[in-house]
Amino acid sequence: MIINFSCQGGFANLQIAFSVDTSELSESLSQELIDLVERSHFFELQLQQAAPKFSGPPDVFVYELTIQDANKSRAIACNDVTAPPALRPLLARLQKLALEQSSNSD
Amino acid sequence: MTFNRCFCNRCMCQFVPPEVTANLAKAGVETAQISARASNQQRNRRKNKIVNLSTLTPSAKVGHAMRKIYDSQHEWEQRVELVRSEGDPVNSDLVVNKVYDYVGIVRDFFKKVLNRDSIDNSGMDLVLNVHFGQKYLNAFWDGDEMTFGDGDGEIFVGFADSLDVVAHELAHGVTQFTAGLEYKDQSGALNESFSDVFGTAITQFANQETADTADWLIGDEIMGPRLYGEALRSMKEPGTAYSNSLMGKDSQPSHMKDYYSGPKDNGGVHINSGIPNKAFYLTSMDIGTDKAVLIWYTALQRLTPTTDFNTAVAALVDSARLLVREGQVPCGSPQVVRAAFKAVGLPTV
Repeated sequence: MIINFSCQGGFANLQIAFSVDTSELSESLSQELIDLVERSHFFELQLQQAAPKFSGPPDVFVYELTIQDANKSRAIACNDVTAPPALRPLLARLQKLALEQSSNSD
Repeated sequence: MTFNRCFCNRCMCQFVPPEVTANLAKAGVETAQISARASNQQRNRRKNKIVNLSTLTPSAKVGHAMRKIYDSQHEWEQRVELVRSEGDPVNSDLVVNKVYDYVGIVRDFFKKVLNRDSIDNSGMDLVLNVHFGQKYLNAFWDGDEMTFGDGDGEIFVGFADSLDVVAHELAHGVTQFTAGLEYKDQSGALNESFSDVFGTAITQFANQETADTADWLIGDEIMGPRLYGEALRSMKEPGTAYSNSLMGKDSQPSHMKDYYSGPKDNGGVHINSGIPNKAFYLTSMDIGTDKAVLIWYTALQRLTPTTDFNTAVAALVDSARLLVREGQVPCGSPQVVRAAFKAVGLPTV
């Protein structure tokens, strides 16, 4: 499974990203991410009208997430107001991984 | 005849710029709002906004500026449990009490200092959600209420623990109900700057500080142990608030020569806000923060959603002139405002 994630904005104006092929991760982390994707029902989320990618409510995070798995691929973008609760644990975990990656990049 | 509509003045939930949709479709990205059926949060919010317009007039009082604090109980939902309303006794949760007190300070500042009756100037109730999500690293205004995360305890601590942050978020509501500044490019940077202006002015007011004694930092109280000593923005010296591996270096310019013109951050709303922020600092150092914020608030009511920096400068100078005539600010205030903006490269020609 290939995951491309970015998060920008917020009160702190974070600009972070995390891209990974889960097959290259430790078994535990790989399984954790696969489970989170599964529980989020990422590929089945019902998305309604297009929301503005920009000009969103003040200080919300804007998330972009693309996941490729076997023959499936999907890209979505949402923000703190439009993100469904089911997707939240995955977004939070990816945000943490992105921050850890930023922290280790020096 | 009865009409029903969304109640908020400038409802963002109905705004779908066609060019955005088209661009995203080209990019193969489903930028989307989740189905109301799939989200109790969205559904409840909309349900709460259905009102009978026949009972309202534009100037009708719609509330009494009551504070309502909800505990999200670490769920990713708003309004999970109402834990303290206006006049309720102290709660066992210190965060609830702190945010209750802080939003009271902000409400009272707008009322007593700026003669504004809550966010909408019609006594709108103040709804705040605390403990939102799990280790959520943010606070935001969503168009009708404020939401605060607890942070992760490492990078950021509780966002509701900062008067700066609470005032900043509530001020976004005030901007929405006055100028309605679009949250992108220069109007978005002004939107952010006005929130920082009110955030710092209210903090100085509450702490009985002056322009000379204030630290002019935004967000310093929410920096966790890994970023201790840093802040998110400096109004005094934009671009110097932080430099670390987690967040990089503070990219705020303090002058138009360093203006950010790229696409990130909605066209630099948190970045270019450093320019008008610096002008507010310079003005405050000359005539005092209490006088400067009066000018800024007066100008805010004269701006429009697409106001750019140059237009804002003109409105601020005009407002200073108006307030001089009313005897509310010192005689030289228009010149002070003009000089402050000249120092940051505005207006541009």
